[in-house]
Amino acid sequence: MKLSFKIFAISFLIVISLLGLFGFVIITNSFNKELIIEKERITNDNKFLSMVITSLYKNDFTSVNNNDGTIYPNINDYFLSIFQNMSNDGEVFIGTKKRLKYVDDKLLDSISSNEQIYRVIEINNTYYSQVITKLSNDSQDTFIEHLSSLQTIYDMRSDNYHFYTLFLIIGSLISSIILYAFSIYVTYPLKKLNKISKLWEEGNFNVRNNASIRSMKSVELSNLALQFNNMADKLSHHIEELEDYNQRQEDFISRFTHELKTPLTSIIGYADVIRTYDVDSKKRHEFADYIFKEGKRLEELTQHLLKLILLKNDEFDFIDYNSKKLFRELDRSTVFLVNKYEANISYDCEEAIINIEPVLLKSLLYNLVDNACKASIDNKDIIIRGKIKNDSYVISVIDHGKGIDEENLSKVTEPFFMEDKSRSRKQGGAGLGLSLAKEIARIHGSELDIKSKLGKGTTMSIRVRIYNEK
Amino acid sequence: MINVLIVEDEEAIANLIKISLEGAGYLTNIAYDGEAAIDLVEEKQFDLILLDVMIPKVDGFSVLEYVHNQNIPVIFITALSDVNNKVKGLKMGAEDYITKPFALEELLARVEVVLRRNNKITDIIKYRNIEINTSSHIVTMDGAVIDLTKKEFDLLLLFMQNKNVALYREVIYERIWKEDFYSDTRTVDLHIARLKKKLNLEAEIKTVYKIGYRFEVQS
Repeated sequence: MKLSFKIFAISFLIVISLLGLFGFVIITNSFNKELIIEKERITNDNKFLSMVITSLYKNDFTSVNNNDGTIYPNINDYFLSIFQNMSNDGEVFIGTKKRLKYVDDKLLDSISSNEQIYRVIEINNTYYSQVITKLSNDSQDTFIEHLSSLQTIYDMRSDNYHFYTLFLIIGSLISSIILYAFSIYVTYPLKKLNKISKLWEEGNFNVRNNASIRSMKSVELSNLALQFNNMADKLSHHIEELEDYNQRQEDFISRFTHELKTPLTSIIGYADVIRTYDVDSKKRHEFADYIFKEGKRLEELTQHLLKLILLKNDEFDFIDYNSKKLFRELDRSTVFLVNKYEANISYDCEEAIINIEPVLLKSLLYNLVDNACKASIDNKDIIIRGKIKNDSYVISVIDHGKGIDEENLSKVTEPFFMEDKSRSRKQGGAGLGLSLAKEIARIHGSELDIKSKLGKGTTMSIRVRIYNEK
Repeated sequence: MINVLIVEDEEAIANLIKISLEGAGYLTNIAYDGEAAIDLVEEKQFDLILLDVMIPKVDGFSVLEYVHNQNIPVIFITALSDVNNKVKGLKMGAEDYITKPFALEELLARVEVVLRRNNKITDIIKYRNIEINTSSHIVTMDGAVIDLTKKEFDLLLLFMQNKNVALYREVIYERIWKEDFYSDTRTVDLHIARLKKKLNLEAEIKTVYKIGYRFEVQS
């Protein structure tokens, strides 16, 4: 069942039954009051008449008793005419049982002497209030009866009931319209939320229910809508992240395929040429050289990839290491680079005990120095700096080479990214060096910080922990 | 002569394509990036472009868009095996694609098909008094039809496409019989002998000692 209908039905039932009950109570109450007033009036009349008669005849009724049940006829008539006039639409009967109307013996016997009874009787669909007083002496019972129609009171009550029923019907019509409108109004925001969440279900995460929040007067619903919005924000954020991740993964795979298939094409192609045609020895050497170089490139690619994979999985042994010792070893291992690129490497290092994975860190630094050498053109001064900063030790490799284009700065650590592809190919790069460096930095709990200015040079730094004696 | 532009940033591969295309008798030019490719297209007339998708400066798809307006057929070369890229290239007007790594044979076959489709080359290869119709597989000499078996026909085509180079016997076998070679050279020798006789090619098809055969043409 729809919520709006539920709200409507329940509130409608409550309103209608309350109204009905209320009307019934009011009408019954006023009816009862009328009855009481009537009862008081008629009993008072009766009491008054019986007092008058008692005082006049001093309980001596026998003398005035006739056979037809009247007391003394003259007095009787006299009184009757007076009292008949006094009780506006009632009738008065005075005398023995025979004179009375609408009575039976049983009732009359049940009345004790000098007692007054009151009752409501129904004769031929008409209600009467009846008061009887029994005046007794030794020989005879004399009765005084007042009889008065209650029809107007009963009629008024049924009139009231009819009128009120009509009122209730019209009222329920009007209230049902109002309540229906109200229930629609209350559930409208929910409907809106429903619509929007359906859009989300279809994957359209850009819609938000700002409009419905504004239209919501109740705190609960607007909170709900806000919650929905937050949920959608979070979801779309996650989805974006996933898409981003997928995109990177896809990029990685497509670049990887490219890097893998390009040397393969050359190797297969040149091998095919050599085995198909009888080429001269100079050409044969040239082709074999291509095959060799491309094979080397594949080898390097696989080695780097292996390292990357290992770095992602393994746990490492960190040890405390003297920074001087580290740089001494680095100096020794970079001799080859210095000779090859005619670079001039200088050290500017503070001594400290640092907590590192020495093999990985040395390979990272070698990589950075290698990059610096390759980037240097005229000014081949390369500075390796080690500085204590607060609790950590910052190692920087500074070159004065060609620098990195600003737009590429964020991309250089992506796998297979090469700023100058043909140049780095010639220098034997696979485009994975900085990815590796970043990974090693990450293992040391650091970013690979790259600062560069085109034409001025590049500074790459990593931050490692200082050994803490405590 | 058919002029082919090779757009490929890998020097080794560009060279490889150049060697095999020139071996098949095409003229070639090489552009190592997208910008150079567009410059060359503006400068010279090309019958076909072999285009790598991943090239520096201007990417392959942009070059494709540019040359498509010039009505030059394009075969694009891609290392990406994903379907989207291929569909994208073909939709943008490329005639065909080839994925790395490719066999040179395949490359030449695709080049030939595209050139023929664009009426850049005819189905008919002429040499001396011999006419070879590559689509109907009919060979005539002085107008008279010469009856050749399928293998003989394929051999003839192979020689026509590889003039003046010595072909290894093993490779000839692999190319024509599509099987790996098992030291039985007699099959190849037998078929070549029959072909020579049928078409009077004794002077042209020369045996190269220890290697195989060469189709010699005096230019």
